[in-house]
Amino acid sequence: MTDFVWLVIAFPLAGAVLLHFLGRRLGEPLAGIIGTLAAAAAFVVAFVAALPFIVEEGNHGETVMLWEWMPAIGANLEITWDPLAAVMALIVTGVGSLIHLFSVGYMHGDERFARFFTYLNLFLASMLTLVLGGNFAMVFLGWELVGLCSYLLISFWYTKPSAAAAGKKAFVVNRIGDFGFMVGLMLVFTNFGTLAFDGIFERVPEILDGSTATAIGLLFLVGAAGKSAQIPLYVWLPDAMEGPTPVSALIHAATMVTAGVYLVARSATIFAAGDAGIVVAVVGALTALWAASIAIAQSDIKRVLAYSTVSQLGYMFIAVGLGGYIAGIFHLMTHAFFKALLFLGSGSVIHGMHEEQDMNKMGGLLEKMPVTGVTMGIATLAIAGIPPLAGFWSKDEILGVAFEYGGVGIVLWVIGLVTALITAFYMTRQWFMVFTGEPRWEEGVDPHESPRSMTVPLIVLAVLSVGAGFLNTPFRLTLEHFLEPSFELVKVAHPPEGLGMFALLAAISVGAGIAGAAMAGFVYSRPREIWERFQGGFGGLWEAWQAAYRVDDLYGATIVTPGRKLSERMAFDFDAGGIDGFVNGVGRAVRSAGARTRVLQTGLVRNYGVGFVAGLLAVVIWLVIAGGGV
Amino acid sequence: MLVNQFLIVAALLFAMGTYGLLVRRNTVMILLSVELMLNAVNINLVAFEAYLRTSEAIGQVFSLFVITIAAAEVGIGLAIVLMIFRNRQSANVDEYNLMKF
Amino acid sequence: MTFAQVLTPPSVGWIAIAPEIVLGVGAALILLFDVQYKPKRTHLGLATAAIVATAFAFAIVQYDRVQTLSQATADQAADFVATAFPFDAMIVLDANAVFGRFAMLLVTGLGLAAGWRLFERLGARAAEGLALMLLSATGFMFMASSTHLMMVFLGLEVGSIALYVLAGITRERTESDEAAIKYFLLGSVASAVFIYGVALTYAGSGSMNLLEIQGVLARNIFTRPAVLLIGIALMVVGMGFKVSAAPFHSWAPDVYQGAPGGIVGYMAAAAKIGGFAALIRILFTAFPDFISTWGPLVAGIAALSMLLGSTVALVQDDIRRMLGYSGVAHAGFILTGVVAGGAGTGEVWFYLGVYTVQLVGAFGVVAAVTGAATSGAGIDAFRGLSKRAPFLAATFTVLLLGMAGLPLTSGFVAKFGVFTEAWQAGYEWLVIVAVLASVIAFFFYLRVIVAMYMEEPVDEAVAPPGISVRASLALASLITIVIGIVPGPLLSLAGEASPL
Repeated sequence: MTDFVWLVIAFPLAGAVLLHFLGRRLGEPLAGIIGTLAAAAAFVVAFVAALPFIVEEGNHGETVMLWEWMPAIGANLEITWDPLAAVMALIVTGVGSLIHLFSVGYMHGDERFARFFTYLNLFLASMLTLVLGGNFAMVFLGWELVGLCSYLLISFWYTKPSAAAAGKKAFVVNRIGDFGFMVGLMLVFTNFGTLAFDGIFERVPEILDGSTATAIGLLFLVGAAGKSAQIPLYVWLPDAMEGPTPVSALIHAATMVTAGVYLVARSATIFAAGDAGIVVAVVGALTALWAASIAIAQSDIKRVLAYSTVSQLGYMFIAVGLGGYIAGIFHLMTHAFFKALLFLGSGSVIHGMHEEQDMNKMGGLLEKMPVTGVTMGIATLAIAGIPPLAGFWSKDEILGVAFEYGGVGIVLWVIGLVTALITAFYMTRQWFMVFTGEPRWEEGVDPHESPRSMTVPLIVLAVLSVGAGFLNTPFRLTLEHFLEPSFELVKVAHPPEGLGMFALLAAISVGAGIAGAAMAGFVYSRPREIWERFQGGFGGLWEAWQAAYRVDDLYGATIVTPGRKLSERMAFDFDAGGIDGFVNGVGRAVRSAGARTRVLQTGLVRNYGVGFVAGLLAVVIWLVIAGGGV
Repeated sequence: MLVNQFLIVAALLFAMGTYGLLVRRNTVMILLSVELMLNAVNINLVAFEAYLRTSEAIGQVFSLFVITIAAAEVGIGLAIVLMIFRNRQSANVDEYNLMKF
Repeated sequence: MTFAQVLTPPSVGWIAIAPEIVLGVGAALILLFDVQYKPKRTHLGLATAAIVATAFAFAIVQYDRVQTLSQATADQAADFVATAFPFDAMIVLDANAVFGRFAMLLVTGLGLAAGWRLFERLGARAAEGLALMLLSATGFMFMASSTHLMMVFLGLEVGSIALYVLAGITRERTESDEAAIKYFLLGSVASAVFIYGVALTYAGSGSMNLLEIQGVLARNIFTRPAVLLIGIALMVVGMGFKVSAAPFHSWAPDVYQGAPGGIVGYMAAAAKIGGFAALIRILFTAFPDFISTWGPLVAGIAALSMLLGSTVALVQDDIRRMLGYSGVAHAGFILTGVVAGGAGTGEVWFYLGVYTVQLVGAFGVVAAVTGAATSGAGIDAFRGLSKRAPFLAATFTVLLLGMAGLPLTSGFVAKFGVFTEAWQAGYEWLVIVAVLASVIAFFFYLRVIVAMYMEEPVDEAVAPPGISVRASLALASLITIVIGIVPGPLLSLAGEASPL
């Protein structure tokens, strides 16, 4: 019935192909409009295809086989169209369309305007492959492709060295995650003999024992932590802000970074069969608190949001780790709205401020940019968890799941509450720093409201940030009923029953949120000297937050440098002495001067010979001993 | 017939060839060392053949092949050495590392 | 033993060696015609292509014959033996041999087209180069089709000696000389080691025929098989050298860098096919019962190759050298499939087939960018290539991504296949190492792609590649993509290719 669902992927893919070949000729703004239309068309198709789930309760959806690629291992071009996939597709295409529209204004005048939309469309197609794929091979394909697009888009302004470096960093860190994911997939394949969802999830109880399920879960967690920027692999996301702001909104806030959450939710049966879930939740909780604390002291408008994203993803991990899959997806959705709004709003600010990102050089912008200011204010209230905005409902549901879990869950609940307080604090701080107080603009900056194509998406997203929460309130569980068929095989965790309990928990978390917001409002609505005194009160702690706990330096010293040294040593020393070449050594010498070449003229072939004979002896001895020859 | 002494001679010859390969600097001498290794194989083959006495006399036949191939190999080897000598006026294998980058 | 016995004419099955005959005779004819008539180089090239195509046609005939043989019933047994094991069972006509020929001939054809500019540059000696190329292909094809260690050795030498000469064929270039002498010296040592292993195997089992060895080993239990084990070890080392597996890889980066650009892709690919064909044949046919002994050894070599190859490739600034080290890593990946024993034959062949095509194509691009008769290819020459030569940049990207094993390229299917086989054979640790190595490998391939697409171009213009070069590069990229999307047919073809 929903055979046509492949069009969801096909539209953005066709857009990417078209723009790749004709983009330059189409020029501005036509290329952007075509890209936006491709995304919007995908949204419409996804919406139509999702109608059966809305109309008919308990509809499981279906697997649409498009084309048999490698049927023997269950790797085909197939789409699993179920409520979970539908929700993800709607978020991706919906938010994606708005961000495309926003980019038409934001990228105005960029010489690679069309290329930008090519990448954005390609990203959408890849992301949809990831969330719609009916087997792990397609998920993996999408997983790799979104990573590639992310890399391309972060370093979109590749002439900026920091952008190129950030792209590289994202790529490297993600490879570490992918390594875990790949090994996990290998384990899945050897246990099930297929990669197709249809042959895996239903058979989990009969095939996987607890420890194997835990192992797969932990390996998937490594992959998810890379993509979704969780401890210890979150370091790439703040740097990824070097990319154009719409990219940050689309890829590094609303969609790609949620792939890890999606993966855990999709593999719910595997996580339910082992004990990996609680690890996921603990990692999520630690990340939430850790990143939130860093966000307090950032002064770059986008970095605040980046750490905030890491922190909010931590919330989603708490939910899916504890079995609250629907709560996790719910928060994924509301977060996509208000975080995309925040990023686009910050993009609007940056645009209006002539590429200024330092909040210390802003202030008093509300008058100049009223739409941006008001919509960002709404998003700030939403992420702070102030009822009845969207963030309140989804965050509360996650906290409720943690509370109901008991034991460790209570600890996670407390961490979640503290994080909620901090979140309210730093977001309010940001809003006041940017939009109120005395202007602290640099000379010659003339802030102005952004064009219509940029403010319309802001308004739409603001409406969603207000209203999306009502999709799943304790009074009316619309999303819950919608998603249930996707999670029939597992027991989904819920917040405590009863409105009294709900009111109590909500009161506590809202209290935390208001406390945080009030504190920030109290300090940052006053002149600058007051903030500085306030910040000074934290002493060294503030500096540690500002420097993001110096994790980058730590990684640099402990992992990156030794790794580089090792591979260099293998090429220069080990090889020069033992086997091969001073490889680059000689090369460099030849290139610089002939004088140094003579120094390095040791016996080459004979050194190779030594290596060969040593290897030969090792092989002979090994085989003779191993084979019981003596 | 005891085959051990032949095996030992062959192994010694092979080891000598290997040693020559590792310590000699003159390319021609290295070529000769490789020849030693090949001849060690020939001794082995002939000795085993005499020991096993198979119907096809495969060991003897094979040793003839090895001798032929060794000759071909040396021919090619000397040609390469000559070519490289013409370019560099040296047959010292330790000097053949000008280009490595 | 009487004279009569010795003089019994061997059972002849021409069809079993028809492609080799075509290539060998063709090589001789090319030399003779060149001496007599001095034909144009283009004509020589077309003649060589025709010879390769004819050999390929014969290989298809052989494939058909093998298909028929596989349905042979018991009463056709005598016929079966005569056709499948001609020349007193020194040669075998089985799917393994035929697949080896397909791969070898495809690589030869591609290599010829991609490196055509080199033969043009060789001038009067073009015929020699072409003949040597055909001869080396003949030798390596024999390695795939022999069941007798003597034939394996002959094939190895015929192939290798031709390659030594090809490495130095530009003559006046000191880099090429050096590549030639290094390849030659180390290669002849490896050959000596290999036949020493043959001799010891002969001593241990009483035969040089792989099938007979297998029979002897299956019937007898050796309490102290030291001689045999050393024999296996030495043969593995000899073949490990040919396929450039660590720690016997030291020649590869130098030769890949120093040999003339137009021929080096063919050299690398041909040696890999020949070496692996013989390795499969020896280990799977003669010593399947020793798999618990040689399996861990091969796994160790594989792990070392993958790790060393991919880490050292990271710090290379010369594309050819980088490809050399990545070739070491790929040898390790293929060996990962070898540890699974006979079950992994199909996956190993599949990997070999797709990788060698990528290799020839990649070196074709390098030759087109930095010259077909030169040595070395610094990464600087590739900066901004997408603007200067978009076609070359695009094909190079496809081929490199294929080598990296990105999904939807043939490399991904190949890697997945060998990893799965190794995992099912119980080498989980090796698969983890392999995945790690392929993750590392992503970087150096990507680095080249980034240099081509995201860095400012250098001023040097790239001479537009000729039609043959463009055709071969397009074909190689097309194979990489198509096999990645539709791997089924090749997978089943390779799956049949287990040795008899």
